[in-house]
Amino acid sequence: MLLGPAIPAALCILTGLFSKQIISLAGWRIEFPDMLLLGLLLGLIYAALFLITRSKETSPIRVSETWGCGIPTLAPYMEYSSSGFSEPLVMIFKSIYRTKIVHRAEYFDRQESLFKGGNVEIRLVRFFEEYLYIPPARAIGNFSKYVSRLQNGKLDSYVLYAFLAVIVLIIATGGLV
Amino acid sequence: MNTSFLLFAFLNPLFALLTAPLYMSLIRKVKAYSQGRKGPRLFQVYYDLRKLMKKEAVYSPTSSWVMRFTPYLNLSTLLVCSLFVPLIFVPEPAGGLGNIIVFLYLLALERFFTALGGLDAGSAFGGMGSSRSMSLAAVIEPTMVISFAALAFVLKSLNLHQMFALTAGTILPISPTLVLVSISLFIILIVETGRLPVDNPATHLELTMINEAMILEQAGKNLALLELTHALKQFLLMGILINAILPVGLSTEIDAGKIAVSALLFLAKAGLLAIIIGLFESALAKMRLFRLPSFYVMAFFFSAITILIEVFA
Repeated sequence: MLLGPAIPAALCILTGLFSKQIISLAGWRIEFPDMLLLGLLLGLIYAALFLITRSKETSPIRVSETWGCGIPTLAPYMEYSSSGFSEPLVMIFKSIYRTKIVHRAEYFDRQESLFKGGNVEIRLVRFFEEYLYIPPARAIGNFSKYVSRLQNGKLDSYVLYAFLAVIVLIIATGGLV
Repeated sequence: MNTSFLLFAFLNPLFALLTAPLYMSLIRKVKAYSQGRKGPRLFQVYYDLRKLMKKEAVYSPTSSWVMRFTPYLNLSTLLVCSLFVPLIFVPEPAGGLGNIIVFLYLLALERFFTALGGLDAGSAFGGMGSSRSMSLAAVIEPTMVISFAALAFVLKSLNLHQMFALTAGTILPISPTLVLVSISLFIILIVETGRLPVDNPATHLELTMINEAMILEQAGKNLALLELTHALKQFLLMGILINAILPVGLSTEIDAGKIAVSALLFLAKAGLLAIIIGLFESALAKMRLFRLPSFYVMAFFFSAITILIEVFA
Protein backbone atom coordinates (compact mmCIF):
# COMPACT_ATOMS: atom_id res chain seq x y z
CA MET A 1 0.00 0.00 0.00
CA LEU A 2 2.91 2.30 0.65
CA LEU A 3 4.46 1.55 -2.71
CA GLY A 4 2.15 3.97 -4.55
CA PRO A 5 3.16 7.14 -2.75
CA ALA A 6 6.74 5.84 -2.39
CA ILE A 7 7.32 5.94 -6.16
CA PRO A 8 6.63 9.69 -6.64
CA ALA A 9 8.46 10.42 -3.37
CA ALA A 10 11.54 8.56 -4.59
CA LEU A 11 11.28 10.30 -7.94
CA CYS A 12 11.13 13.67 -6.17
CA ILE A 13 14.32 12.91 -4.25
CA LEU A 14 16.14 11.55 -7.31
CA THR A 15 15.16 14.39 -9.65
CA GLY A 16 16.07 16.82 -6.90
CA LEU A 17 19.50 15.31 -6.30
CA PHE A 18 20.31 14.92 -10.00
CA SER A 19 18.63 18.18 -11.08
CA LYS A 20 21.82 19.73 -12.42
CA GLN A 21 22.69 16.61 -14.39
CA ILE A 22 19.16 16.33 -15.79
CA ILE A 23 19.15 19.97 -16.83
CA SER A 24 22.51 19.67 -18.57
CA LEU A 25 21.37 16.43 -20.27
CA ALA A 26 18.30 18.27 -21.54
CA GLY A 27 20.69 20.77 -23.09
CA TRP A 28 19.64 23.82 -21.11
CA ARG A 29 22.28 26.17 -19.90
CA ILE A 30 21.04 27.45 -16.56
CA GLU A 31 23.25 28.35 -13.67
CA PHE A 32 22.11 25.90 -11.06
CA PRO A 33 23.53 24.78 -7.72
CA ASP A 34 24.80 21.22 -7.78
CA MET A 35 22.39 19.35 -5.53
CA LEU A 36 24.29 16.09 -5.88
CA LEU A 37 27.37 17.70 -4.32
CA LEU A 38 25.17 19.05 -1.57
CA GLY A 39 23.55 15.67 -1.00
CA LEU A 40 26.93 13.97 -0.80
CA LEU A 41 28.14 16.62 1.63
CA LEU A 42 25.06 16.11 3.78
CA GLY A 43 25.61 12.34 3.74
CA LEU A 44 29.27 12.68 4.65
CA ILE A 45 28.62 15.05 7.54
CA TYR A 46 25.83 12.77 8.74
CA ALA A 47 28.14 9.76 8.71
CA ALA A 48 30.91 11.69 10.48
CA LEU A 49 28.54 12.94 13.19
CA PHE A 50 27.15 9.47 13.67
CA LEU A 51 30.59 7.93 14.02
CA ILE A 52 31.83 10.62 16.40
CA THR A 53 28.85 10.33 18.76
CA ARG A 54 28.80 6.53 18.55
CA SER A 55 32.49 6.25 19.40
CA LYS A 56 31.82 8.14 22.63
CA GLU A 57 28.98 5.86 23.57
CA THR A 58 29.19 5.29 27.31
CA SER A 59 25.80 4.00 28.34
CA PRO A 60 23.36 1.78 26.46
CA ILE A 61 20.17 3.08 24.87
CA ARG A 62 17.15 2.89 27.15
CA VAL A 63 13.61 2.22 26.03
CA SER A 64 10.88 3.86 28.05
CA GLU A 65 7.21 4.73 27.62
CA THR A 66 6.20 7.99 25.96
CA TRP A 67 5.02 10.54 28.48
CA GLY A 68 1.22 10.40 28.42
CA CYS A 69 0.47 13.77 30.02
CA GLY A 70 -0.28 12.04 33.33
CA ILE A 71 -2.24 9.12 31.96
CA PRO A 72 -0.37 5.90 32.79
CA THR A 73 -0.99 3.94 29.62
CA LEU A 74 -0.86 5.65 26.30
CA ALA A 75 -3.53 4.55 23.84
CA PRO A 76 -3.50 5.13 20.09
CA TYR A 77 -6.53 7.43 20.25
CA MET A 78 -4.50 9.92 22.31
CA GLU A 79 -2.22 10.55 19.39
CA TYR A 80 -2.59 13.75 17.44
CA SER A 81 -5.15 13.17 14.72
CA SER A 82 -4.89 14.50 11.19
CA SER A 83 -7.73 16.95 11.69
CA GLY A 84 -6.12 18.11 14.91
CA PHE A 85 -2.83 18.56 13.10
CA SER A 86 -4.30 20.75 10.40
CA GLU A 87 -6.59 22.71 12.74
CA PRO A 88 -4.33 25.80 13.18
CA LEU A 89 -3.89 26.07 9.41
CA VAL A 90 -7.60 25.76 8.88
CA MET A 91 -8.13 28.56 11.40
CA ILE A 92 -5.43 30.82 9.95
CA PHE A 93 -6.75 30.46 6.41
CA LYS A 94 -10.35 30.73 7.55
CA SER A 95 -11.37 32.90 4.64
CA ILE A 96 -10.12 30.41 2.03
CA TYR A 97 -11.43 27.26 3.67
CA ARG A 98 -14.59 28.99 4.93
CA THR A 99 -14.12 27.25 8.25
CA LYS A 100 -17.22 26.79 10.36
CA ILE A 101 -17.03 25.41 13.87
CA VAL A 102 -20.25 23.97 15.23
CA HIS A 103 -20.60 23.23 18.93
CA ARG A 104 -23.53 21.23 20.17
CA ALA A 105 -23.91 20.47 23.84
CA GLU A 106 -26.71 19.01 25.86
CA TYR A 107 -27.08 19.39 29.58
CA PHE A 108 -29.09 17.57 32.21
CA ASP A 109 -30.14 20.76 33.96
CA ARG A 110 -31.33 24.18 32.92
CA GLN A 111 -28.31 25.99 34.39
CA GLU A 112 -26.15 24.15 31.89
CA SER A 113 -23.74 22.78 34.43
CA LEU A 114 -24.25 19.01 34.17
CA PHE A 115 -22.93 17.93 30.84
CA LYS A 116 -24.91 15.19 29.12
CA GLY A 117 -23.25 14.94 25.76
CA GLY A 118 -22.47 16.84 22.65
CA ASN A 119 -20.27 17.16 19.64
CA VAL A 120 -18.04 19.63 17.94
CA GLU A 121 -17.60 19.80 14.18
CA ILE A 122 -15.23 21.64 11.97
CA ARG A 123 -16.70 22.13 8.54
CA LEU A 124 -14.52 23.14 5.63
CA VAL A 125 -15.16 24.05 2.09
CA ARG A 126 -15.01 20.94 -0.10
CA PHE A 127 -11.85 22.28 -1.64
CA PHE A 128 -11.49 20.22 -4.81
CA GLU A 129 -15.18 20.21 -5.58
CA GLU A 130 -15.76 23.90 -5.02
CA TYR A 131 -12.57 25.29 -6.49
CA LEU A 132 -11.64 22.72 -9.12
CA TYR A 133 -14.66 20.80 -10.40
CA ILE A 134 -17.65 23.05 -9.92
CA PRO A 135 -16.37 26.23 -11.69
CA PRO A 136 -15.63 24.48 -15.05
CA ALA A 137 -18.84 22.46 -14.72
CA ARG A 138 -20.79 25.65 -14.18
CA ALA A 139 -19.04 27.32 -17.15
CA ILE A 140 -19.86 24.38 -19.43
CA GLY A 141 -23.45 24.44 -18.19
CA ASN A 142 -23.80 28.14 -18.97
CA PHE A 143 -22.26 27.69 -22.40
CA SER A 144 -24.57 24.80 -23.26
CA LYS A 145 -27.57 26.84 -22.08
CA TYR A 146 -26.49 29.56 -24.51
CA VAL A 147 -26.07 27.04 -27.33
CA SER A 148 -29.46 25.50 -26.64
CA ARG A 149 -30.99 28.96 -26.87
CA LEU A 150 -29.58 29.21 -30.40
CA GLN A 151 -31.02 25.81 -31.33
CA ASN A 152 -34.58 26.71 -30.49
CA GLY A 153 -36.30 24.56 -33.15
CA LYS A 154 -37.69 27.47 -35.16
CA LEU A 155 -37.11 27.22 -38.87
CA ASP A 156 -37.05 30.99 -39.47
CA SER A 157 -34.17 31.54 -37.03
CA TYR A 158 -32.17 28.73 -38.72
CA VAL A 159 -32.71 30.49 -42.06
CA LEU A 160 -31.47 33.70 -40.42
CA TYR A 161 -28.28 31.92 -39.19
CA ALA A 162 -27.65 30.47 -42.65
CA PHE A 163 -28.15 33.88 -44.21
CA LEU A 164 -25.80 35.59 -41.70
CA ALA A 165 -23.20 32.84 -42.14
CA VAL A 166 -23.24 33.30 -45.93
CA ILE A 167 -22.76 37.07 -45.54
CA VAL A 168 -19.87 36.58 -43.10
CA LEU A 169 -18.27 34.04 -45.47
CA ILE A 170 -18.59 36.42 -48.42
CA ILE A 171 -16.97 39.26 -46.46
CA ALA A 172 -14.25 36.97 -45.12
CA THR A 173 -13.30 35.62 -48.54
CA GLY A 174 -12.99 39.14 -49.92
CA GLY A 175 -16.36 39.85 -51.51
CA LEU A 176 -17.82 38.62 -54.76
CA VAL A 177 -14.74 39.21 -56.88
CA MET B 1 37.40 23.88 -5.37
CA ASN B 2 40.23 26.22 -4.48
CA THR B 3 42.30 26.64 -1.33
CA SER B 4 40.32 29.67 -0.23
CA PHE B 5 37.12 27.67 -0.34
CA LEU B 6 38.62 24.66 1.40
CA LEU B 7 39.88 26.88 4.21
CA PHE B 8 36.43 28.44 4.40
CA ALA B 9 34.75 25.02 4.46
CA PHE B 10 36.88 24.15 7.46
CA LEU B 11 36.86 27.45 9.36
CA ASN B 12 33.29 28.62 8.95
CA PRO B 13 31.42 25.57 10.33
CA LEU B 14 33.97 25.21 13.11
CA PHE B 15 33.63 28.85 14.13
CA ALA B 16 29.83 28.61 13.99
CA LEU B 17 29.72 25.36 15.94
CA LEU B 18 32.03 26.61 18.68
CA THR B 19 30.52 30.04 19.22
CA ALA B 20 26.81 29.48 18.50
CA PRO B 21 25.87 28.20 22.01
CA LEU B 22 27.49 31.28 23.58
CA TYR B 23 24.75 33.50 22.19
CA MET B 24 21.98 31.29 23.51
CA SER B 25 23.52 31.89 26.94
CA LEU B 26 23.98 35.59 26.33
CA ILE B 27 20.33 36.10 25.41
CA ARG B 28 19.27 34.20 28.55
CA LYS B 29 21.62 36.35 30.61
CA VAL B 30 20.21 39.59 29.16
CA LYS B 31 16.68 38.39 29.81
CA ALA B 32 17.61 37.46 33.38
CA TYR B 33 19.16 40.88 34.02
CA SER B 34 16.13 42.66 32.64
CA GLN B 35 13.97 40.65 35.05
CA GLY B 36 16.23 41.55 37.97
CA ARG B 37 17.79 38.08 38.21
CA LYS B 38 21.41 37.15 37.92
CA GLY B 39 20.87 34.40 35.37
CA PRO B 40 23.01 31.42 34.45
CA ARG B 41 26.71 31.60 33.73
CA LEU B 42 27.75 32.68 30.26
CA PHE B 43 29.06 29.21 29.45
CA GLN B 44 26.11 27.37 30.96
CA VAL B 45 24.85 26.15 27.57
CA TYR B 46 28.24 24.49 26.92
CA TYR B 47 28.09 22.74 30.31
CA ASP B 48 24.54 21.60 29.58
CA LEU B 49 25.52 20.28 26.17
CA ARG B 50 28.47 18.38 27.65
CA LYS B 51 26.25 16.89 30.33
CA LEU B 52 23.62 15.85 27.78
CA MET B 53 26.25 14.32 25.50
CA LYS B 54 27.26 11.97 28.33
CA LYS B 55 23.71 10.88 29.04
CA GLU B 56 21.98 7.89 27.55
CA ALA B 57 19.36 8.32 24.86
CA VAL B 58 15.86 7.22 25.85
CA TYR B 59 13.47 6.10 23.15
CA SER B 60 9.81 5.35 23.34
CA PRO B 61 8.75 1.82 22.31
CA THR B 62 6.28 3.42 19.89
CA SER B 63 8.93 5.52 18.15
CA SER B 64 10.48 4.63 14.81
CA TRP B 65 13.73 5.35 12.99
CA VAL B 66 12.62 8.98 12.53
CA MET B 67 13.32 9.69 16.19
CA ARG B 68 16.86 8.32 15.90
CA PHE B 69 17.53 9.86 12.50
CA THR B 70 16.26 13.41 13.14
CA PRO B 71 18.93 14.80 15.52
CA TYR B 72 21.81 13.71 13.28
CA LEU B 73 20.12 14.88 10.09
CA ASN B 74 19.20 18.25 11.59
CA LEU B 75 22.70 18.99 12.79
CA SER B 76 24.22 17.84 9.47
CA THR B 77 21.76 20.04 7.57
CA LEU B 78 22.69 23.06 9.64
CA LEU B 79 26.39 22.28 9.22
CA VAL B 80 25.85 22.26 5.45
CA CYS B 81 23.94 25.53 5.88
CA SER B 82 26.97 26.99 7.64
CA LEU B 83 28.85 26.62 4.34
CA PHE B 84 26.30 29.00 2.81
CA VAL B 85 26.75 31.92 5.19
CA PRO B 86 30.24 33.44 5.30
CA LEU B 87 30.68 34.66 8.85
CA ILE B 88 34.25 35.80 9.13
CA PHE B 89 35.64 35.70 5.61
CA VAL B 90 34.22 35.47 2.13
CA PRO B 91 35.80 32.80 -0.08
CA GLU B 92 35.88 32.64 -3.85
CA PRO B 93 32.57 31.04 -4.90
CA ALA B 94 32.58 27.30 -5.65
CA GLY B 95 30.11 24.59 -6.55
CA GLY B 96 27.01 26.77 -6.30
CA LEU B 97 27.22 26.72 -2.50
CA GLY B 98 25.72 29.87 -1.06
CA ASN B 99 22.55 29.84 -3.11
CA ILE B 100 19.94 31.54 -0.99
CA ILE B 101 17.03 29.41 -2.21
CA VAL B 102 18.85 26.19 -1.37
CA PHE B 103 19.68 27.68 2.02
CA LEU B 104 16.01 28.41 2.70
CA TYR B 105 14.98 24.90 1.75
CA LEU B 106 17.70 23.32 3.85
CA LEU B 107 16.18 25.20 6.79
CA ALA B 108 12.78 23.87 5.71
CA LEU B 109 14.19 20.31 5.67
CA GLU B 110 15.38 20.77 9.23
CA ARG B 111 11.97 22.10 10.29
CA PHE B 112 10.20 19.24 8.54
CA PHE B 113 12.22 16.58 10.29
CA THR B 114 11.88 18.28 13.67
CA ALA B 115 8.11 18.18 13.16
CA LEU B 116 8.23 14.51 12.14
CA GLY B 117 10.34 13.77 15.20
CA GLY B 118 7.73 15.50 17.34
CA LEU B 119 4.98 13.30 15.94
CA ASP B 120 7.02 10.11 16.08
CA ALA B 121 6.74 9.19 19.74
CA GLY B 122 2.95 9.46 19.56
CA SER B 123 2.46 11.85 22.45
CA ALA B 124 -0.24 14.48 22.14
CA PHE B 125 2.26 17.09 23.27
CA GLY B 126 4.73 16.52 20.46
CA GLY B 127 1.92 16.40 17.94
CA MET B 128 0.67 19.76 19.13
CA GLY B 129 4.12 21.30 18.73
CA SER B 130 4.53 19.84 15.25
CA SER B 131 1.09 20.99 14.20
CA ARG B 132 1.72 24.54 15.37
CA SER B 133 5.19 24.65 13.89
CA MET B 134 4.03 23.42 10.48
CA SER B 135 1.10 25.83 10.43
CA LEU B 136 3.34 28.75 11.22
CA ALA B 137 5.86 27.52 8.65
CA ALA B 138 3.15 27.61 5.99
CA VAL B 139 2.60 31.27 6.81
CA ILE B 140 6.20 32.35 7.35
CA GLU B 141 7.54 30.67 4.21
CA PRO B 142 6.15 33.21 1.69
CA THR B 143 7.42 35.97 3.97
CA MET B 144 10.86 34.40 4.10
CA VAL B 145 10.97 34.01 0.34
CA ILE B 146 9.97 37.65 -0.15
CA SER B 147 12.48 38.88 2.44
CA PHE B 148 15.36 36.95 0.95
CA ALA B 149 14.23 38.03 -2.52
CA ALA B 150 14.41 41.63 -1.29
CA LEU B 151 17.92 40.98 0.03
CA ALA B 152 18.86 39.45 -3.33
CA PHE B 153 17.37 42.44 -5.13
CA VAL B 154 19.35 44.96 -3.07
CA LEU B 155 22.64 43.04 -3.21
CA LYS B 156 22.10 41.94 -6.82
CA SER B 157 22.86 38.27 -6.40
CA LEU B 158 21.20 35.02 -5.36
CA ASN B 159 24.40 33.80 -3.81
CA LEU B 160 25.12 34.72 -0.21
CA HIS B 161 28.88 34.57 -0.85
CA GLN B 162 28.61 37.10 -3.67
CA MET B 163 26.28 39.27 -1.59
CA PHE B 164 28.74 39.47 1.25
CA ALA B 165 31.65 39.99 -1.11
CA LEU B 166 29.76 43.11 -2.18
CA THR B 167 29.04 44.35 1.33
CA ALA B 168 32.48 43.46 2.76
CA GLY B 169 34.72 46.41 3.37
CA THR B 170 31.95 48.94 3.80
CA ILE B 171 31.16 50.53 7.12
CA LEU B 172 27.60 51.68 6.55
CA PRO B 173 24.99 49.57 4.78
CA ILE B 174 25.53 49.90 1.04
CA SER B 175 21.93 50.87 0.41
CA PRO B 176 19.37 52.47 2.75
CA THR B 177 16.86 49.82 1.71
CA LEU B 178 19.03 47.29 3.54
CA VAL B 179 17.77 48.84 6.77
CA LEU B 180 14.22 47.92 5.72
CA VAL B 181 15.26 44.38 4.77
CA SER B 182 17.06 43.99 8.07
CA ILE B 183 13.78 44.60 9.93
CA SER B 184 12.28 41.69 7.99
CA LEU B 185 15.34 39.56 8.63
CA PHE B 186 15.14 40.35 12.33
CA ILE B 187 11.51 39.18 12.43
CA ILE B 188 12.47 36.01 10.56
CA LEU B 189 15.29 35.42 13.04
CA ILE B 190 12.80 35.71 15.90
CA VAL B 191 10.28 33.40 14.23
CA GLU B 192 12.72 30.77 13.01
CA THR B 193 14.47 30.43 16.34
CA GLY B 194 11.21 30.25 18.26
CA ARG B 195 11.62 33.33 20.41
CA LEU B 196 9.07 35.65 21.97
CA PRO B 197 6.51 36.81 20.83
CA VAL B 198 6.19 33.69 18.66
CA ASP B 199 7.31 30.94 20.98
CA ASN B 200 8.75 30.95 24.45
CA PRO B 201 12.00 28.97 24.67
CA ALA B 202 12.11 29.17 28.46
CA THR B 203 8.87 27.43 29.28
CA HIS B 204 7.33 24.02 29.35
CA LEU B 205 3.76 25.23 29.46
CA GLU B 206 1.42 23.56 27.03
CA LEU B 207 -0.15 26.81 25.90
CA THR B 208 3.01 28.53 24.85
CA MET B 209 5.17 25.79 23.45
CA ILE B 210 6.05 25.14 19.86
CA ASN B 211 9.68 24.15 19.49
CA GLU B 212 10.13 22.76 22.99
CA ALA B 213 7.06 20.55 22.54
CA MET B 214 8.53 18.95 19.44
CA ILE B 215 11.77 17.99 21.16
CA LEU B 216 10.18 17.00 24.45
CA GLU B 217 10.56 13.27 23.78
CA GLN B 218 14.23 13.57 22.90
CA ALA B 219 16.81 12.83 25.53
CA GLY B 220 20.53 12.55 26.12
CA LYS B 221 22.86 13.10 23.23
CA ASN B 222 19.97 13.40 20.79
CA LEU B 223 18.67 16.35 22.73
CA ALA B 224 22.17 17.82 22.81
CA LEU B 225 22.39 17.56 19.01
CA LEU B 226 19.00 19.23 18.62
CA GLU B 227 19.94 22.03 21.02
CA LEU B 228 23.13 22.56 19.10
CA THR B 229 21.15 22.65 15.86
CA HIS B 230 18.90 25.30 17.32
CA ALA B 231 21.86 27.40 18.44
CA LEU B 232 23.51 27.02 15.05
CA LYS B 233 20.38 28.07 13.20
CA GLN B 234 20.09 31.17 15.34
CA PHE B 235 23.76 31.97 14.84
CA LEU B 236 23.60 31.62 11.04
CA LEU B 237 20.51 33.81 10.74
CA MET B 238 22.23 36.34 12.99
CA GLY B 239 25.24 36.09 10.68
CA ILE B 240 23.15 36.93 7.62
CA LEU B 241 21.63 39.94 9.35
CA ILE B 242 24.98 41.19 10.64
CA ASN B 243 26.92 40.74 7.42
CA ALA B 244 24.16 42.37 5.38
CA ILE B 245 23.78 45.48 7.44
CA LEU B 246 26.99 45.90 9.44
CA PRO B 247 29.77 44.11 7.58
CA VAL B 248 32.63 46.12 9.14
CA GLY B 249 35.79 44.06 9.13
CA LEU B 250 34.46 41.13 7.08
CA SER B 251 37.58 39.78 5.39
CA THR B 252 37.74 38.80 1.73
CA GLU B 253 41.35 37.62 1.76
CA ILE B 254 43.13 34.70 3.37
CA ASP B 255 45.18 36.51 5.90
CA ALA B 256 45.48 35.21 9.46
CA GLY B 257 45.52 38.70 10.96
CA LYS B 258 42.54 39.94 9.02
CA ILE B 259 40.53 36.81 9.70
CA ALA B 260 41.27 37.06 13.41
CA VAL B 261 40.18 40.72 13.49
CA SER B 262 37.10 39.81 11.48
CA ALA B 263 36.25 36.98 13.89
CA LEU B 264 36.65 39.24 16.93
CA LEU B 265 34.53 41.97 15.35
CA PHE B 266 31.90 39.42 14.39
CA LEU B 267 31.76 38.10 17.95
CA ALA B 268 31.26 41.65 19.23
CA LYS B 269 28.58 42.45 16.66
CA ALA B 270 26.77 39.17 17.35
CA GLY B 271 26.98 39.99 21.07
CA LEU B 272 25.31 43.33 20.41
CA LEU B 273 22.60 41.66 18.33
CA ALA B 274 22.06 39.03 21.04
CA ILE B 275 21.61 41.81 23.60
CA ILE B 276 19.06 43.47 21.32
CA ILE B 277 17.20 40.15 20.91
CA GLY B 278 17.25 39.63 24.68
CA LEU B 279 15.85 43.11 25.32
CA PHE B 280 13.28 42.65 22.55
CA GLU B 281 12.15 39.40 24.14
CA SER B 282 11.95 40.96 27.58
CA ALA B 283 9.81 43.81 26.31
CA LEU B 284 7.20 41.65 24.61
CA ALA B 285 4.58 39.20 25.77
CA LYS B 286 3.77 36.00 23.93
CA MET B 287 1.31 36.62 21.13
CA ARG B 288 -1.76 34.47 20.59
CA LEU B 289 -1.13 31.78 18.01
CA PHE B 290 -3.74 33.06 15.59
CA ARG B 291 -2.49 36.64 15.90
CA LEU B 292 0.96 35.65 14.69
CA PRO B 293 0.29 35.98 10.94
CA SER B 294 -0.18 39.72 11.48
CA PHE B 295 3.30 39.84 13.03
CA TYR B 296 4.69 38.14 9.92
CA VAL B 297 2.85 40.57 7.68
CA MET B 298 5.15 43.27 9.08
CA ALA B 299 8.19 41.45 7.70
CA PHE B 300 6.35 40.88 4.44
CA PHE B 301 5.46 44.57 4.23
CA PHE B 302 9.02 45.84 4.72
CA SER B 303 10.39 43.38 2.17
CA ALA B 304 7.70 44.21 -0.37
CA ILE B 305 8.44 47.93 0.06
CA THR B 306 12.15 47.23 -0.46
CA ILE B 307 11.46 45.38 -3.70
CA LEU B 308 9.19 48.20 -4.91
CA ILE B 309 11.82 50.81 -4.10
CA GLU B 310 14.55 48.77 -5.78
CA VAL B 311 12.43 48.23 -8.90
CA PHE B 312 11.25 51.81 -9.32
CA ALA B 313 14.18 53.82 -7.96
